[in-house]
Amino acid sequence: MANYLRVEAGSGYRQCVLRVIGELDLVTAAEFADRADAAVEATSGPVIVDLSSLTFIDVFGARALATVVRTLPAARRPVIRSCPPHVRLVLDMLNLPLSYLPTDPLTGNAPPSVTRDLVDLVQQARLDAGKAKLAASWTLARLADTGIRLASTRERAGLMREQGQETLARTRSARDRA
Amino acid sequence: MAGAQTPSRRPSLGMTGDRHAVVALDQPFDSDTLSELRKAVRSEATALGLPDTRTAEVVLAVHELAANAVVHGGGSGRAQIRVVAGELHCQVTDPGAGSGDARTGTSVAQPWPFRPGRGLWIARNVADRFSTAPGVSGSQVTAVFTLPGR
Repeated sequence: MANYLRVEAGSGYRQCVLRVIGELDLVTAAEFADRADAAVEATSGPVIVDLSSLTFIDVFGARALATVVRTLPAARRPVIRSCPPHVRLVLDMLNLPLSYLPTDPLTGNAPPSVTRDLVDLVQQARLDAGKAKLAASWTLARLADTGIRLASTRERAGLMREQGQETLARTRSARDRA
Repeated sequence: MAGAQTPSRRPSLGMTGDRHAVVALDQPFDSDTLSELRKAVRSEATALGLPDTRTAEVVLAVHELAANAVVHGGGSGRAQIRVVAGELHCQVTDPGAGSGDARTGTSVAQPWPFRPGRGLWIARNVADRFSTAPGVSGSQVTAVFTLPGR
């Protein structure tokens, strides 16, 4: 089997990123379809097909790519990112109905995705905030518990002091009488 | 196929009848060696001074012609690149249809609607000129690219 194609599936935050690496041609098309289908099935959320490391594509590869993308449910909003010009040339000539993320016209790469980074940051911050909230409420609960225990200890201490004084007074009066 | 895989990559005087032709590449291919063919074509086109975008188109054209021979022709063939009067003649010959490589022909079947011959159409689109001819023993397709002027 040809070993010049790899599909890497990474799942980001609620999304599936498929990186197609190497050469997608008539020999590797079927393998690509299998790997991509498996990766997509194992994940959830929007599908991003990253073609930045795709060094060659032919009509069979383009057809396999279009099939994978077009058979996905609309909810997974499949989109292609970082499509190199030599790949875009083939996809455009075949007039395949694919959606692309904006691409830098000079390099063919996706512009450094500030939005994506921001979204990731916000998600991370939200996650951290959730954790902090949980920790805070736990601390609060412990604090309240400690307060209650402190009050009861104090109460008991007061009681014991009263008992002590009582005993002392009784002892003194007994001594005085004696 | 192993015995036939002795590509003569060093430019030499062509034996094809063009008096001023220099053979830049002469390589047999089948479905297992398409990747090697692309690599060889890419390095030849780059060596001849083609810019990256043009190189990619030459690689694409030769690959599609070869893939066409693999799928619709005899399952294998021969790619020749000659430099003729400031042009790159990319010629793919296949020994003829009928003995089709069933393994490749069926394994690449995909549900996306697709007309056969799209590969040839792509090669025709990126090339400056294009010609098909019935060869001595099979069909012969040539895509011509103009080399950058000196």
